[in-house]
Amino acid sequence: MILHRRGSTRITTRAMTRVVSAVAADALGVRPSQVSVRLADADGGLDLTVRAPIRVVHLDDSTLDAAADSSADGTILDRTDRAQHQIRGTVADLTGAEIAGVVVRLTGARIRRPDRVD
Amino acid sequence: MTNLTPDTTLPGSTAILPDGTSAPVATPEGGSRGKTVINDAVVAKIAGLALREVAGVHALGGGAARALGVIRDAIKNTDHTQGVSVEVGEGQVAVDVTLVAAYPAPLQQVAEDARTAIIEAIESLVGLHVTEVNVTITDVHLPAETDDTDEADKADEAGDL
Repeated sequence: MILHRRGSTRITTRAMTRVVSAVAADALGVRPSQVSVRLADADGGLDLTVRAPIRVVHLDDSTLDAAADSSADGTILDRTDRAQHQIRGTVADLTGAEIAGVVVRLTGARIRRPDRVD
Repeated sequence: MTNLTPDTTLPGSTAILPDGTSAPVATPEGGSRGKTVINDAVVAKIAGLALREVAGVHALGGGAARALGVIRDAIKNTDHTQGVSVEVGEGQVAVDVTLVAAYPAPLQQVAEDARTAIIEAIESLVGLHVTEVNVTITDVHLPAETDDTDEADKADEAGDL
């Protein structure tokens, strides 16, 4: 809860969870409904645990996408690391919450061709 | 409505009684020319209407209020005070707002914009001083939720390891 000059702003757990799942889904290339989020308090900061699958391209297509800046860019570990940073930054920007830590647990892989157009 | 101003020291303004009504306007002859009463529901409605203009606000009210709101909208009986509760005191008013924000709007910014819109609307239209506006963001609406097609689901299932 953040106090303002004239009144306070409260963001419920549900709203916070939704934002985190949307941001994580975007970062990992899956749908928000596939992401499960756990929020915890860490000395006043917010500790996020995100459990989600990650989108990977089909092995046959990997040469096609090797040069492109897509979900095939880098190893799964690299991409998860980038997603973890993206979640931390974007969630902090959108909610104004102080993020203490972000844990990303991959629960599986979804094989899908990347969208040709956005 | 026109006679009610928050600052009772201004010449020509009327004193506001503890029950939120204004004192009768005295005529030069000493007689009364009536008093102005602004109901709480009016203040809540003005706050609710002001919120409709705020960017990043998807809907007003919590789960139950919104479910009921859909039915009211369908029978053309929209509740403009949905998600808004007001407490009117002596020339002052405190407002509590419950809303659903639209993703990806920054939540603090949405709350601040909602607060500013309500304060401006009530202070200019009603003339009461707004002491505080407490904003609760209950949920965030994700546009993808409604856009998700069955096709995407099927493609996903097929791709499962």
